[in-house]
Amino acid sequence: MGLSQHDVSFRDRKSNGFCFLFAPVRSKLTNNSIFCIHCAKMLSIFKSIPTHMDYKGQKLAEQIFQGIILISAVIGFVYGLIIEQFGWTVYIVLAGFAVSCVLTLPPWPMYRKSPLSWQPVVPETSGESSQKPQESLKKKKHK
Amino acid sequence: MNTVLSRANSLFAFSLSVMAALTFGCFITTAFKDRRVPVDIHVSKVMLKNVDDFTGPRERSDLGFITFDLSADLQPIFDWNVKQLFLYLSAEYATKSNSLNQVVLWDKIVLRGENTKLNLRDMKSKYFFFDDGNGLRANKNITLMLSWNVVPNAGILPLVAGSGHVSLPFPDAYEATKSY
Repeated sequence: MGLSQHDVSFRDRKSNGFCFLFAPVRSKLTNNSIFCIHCAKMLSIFKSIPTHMDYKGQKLAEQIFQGIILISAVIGFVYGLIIEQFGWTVYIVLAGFAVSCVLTLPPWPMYRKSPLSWQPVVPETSGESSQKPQESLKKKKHK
Repeated sequence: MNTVLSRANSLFAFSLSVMAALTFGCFITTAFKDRRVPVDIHVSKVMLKNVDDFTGPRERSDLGFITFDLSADLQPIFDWNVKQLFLYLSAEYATKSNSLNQVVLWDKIVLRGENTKLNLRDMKSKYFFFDDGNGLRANKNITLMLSWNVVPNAGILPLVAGSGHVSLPFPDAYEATKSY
């Protein structure tokens, strides 16, 4: 997780990022302003936090939060109707919201059980000849 | 759904949609309810004066003073879609110049959770009962009625007339306008 890796990705995306505190560094290659060195450092820290879920995990997370919120909505509606207080309905739905935030926002291990099996990295032999087969392999393997 | 922010976004959007649906459910469970309750109005004293109305016409106008008792049980109106009631007592009468005159004499806000049993004795009107001429003197049919706005959590804002009104005649002569 070096800094240079991210710098490359910024340049690739031709991002017009800017910084409020420090003058952005102008890259000589693209003449686009990129992030100043401090922002890039901070971003690299954020990017080092894992947020990724695999595909099955994403589906599971969506099903879990929808289920929790719908169940809490039904409970809250019935409870509010019985005690004649709509405020309690809102509170119960908010509680369901908080619970599903805790359960599905962080990438818990249960959402990362079936990672994609990537092809091993083909060692870079000599320039362009190795590039093309690698790309096509990735496309094939992609789901 | 592959990053924290996109998950938070869809979670928040879904929660808001569910909340909107629940609010609509709250409205629909109370939309067709009858919010009329019986009201008992009793007028104990009527006084009529003829004074200068500095806000209205240049001539002297009729000013009525009414002392009334009011009792009603508002508990059946309240449910989970009612935040407050705005009660107002209005007088309706016909004059030569207008077939319908409506004057609000008194009002009251009843919040949710407050005492819903109204039992008021010897109330004076909050607002001046001015006619825009001399239509109050010897008017035989002045109707007092209590109506209320129901302020809901969600949905329409119904205006309900309480069942139970009182009609009273006004005196034929003015009181001496010495002190008021």
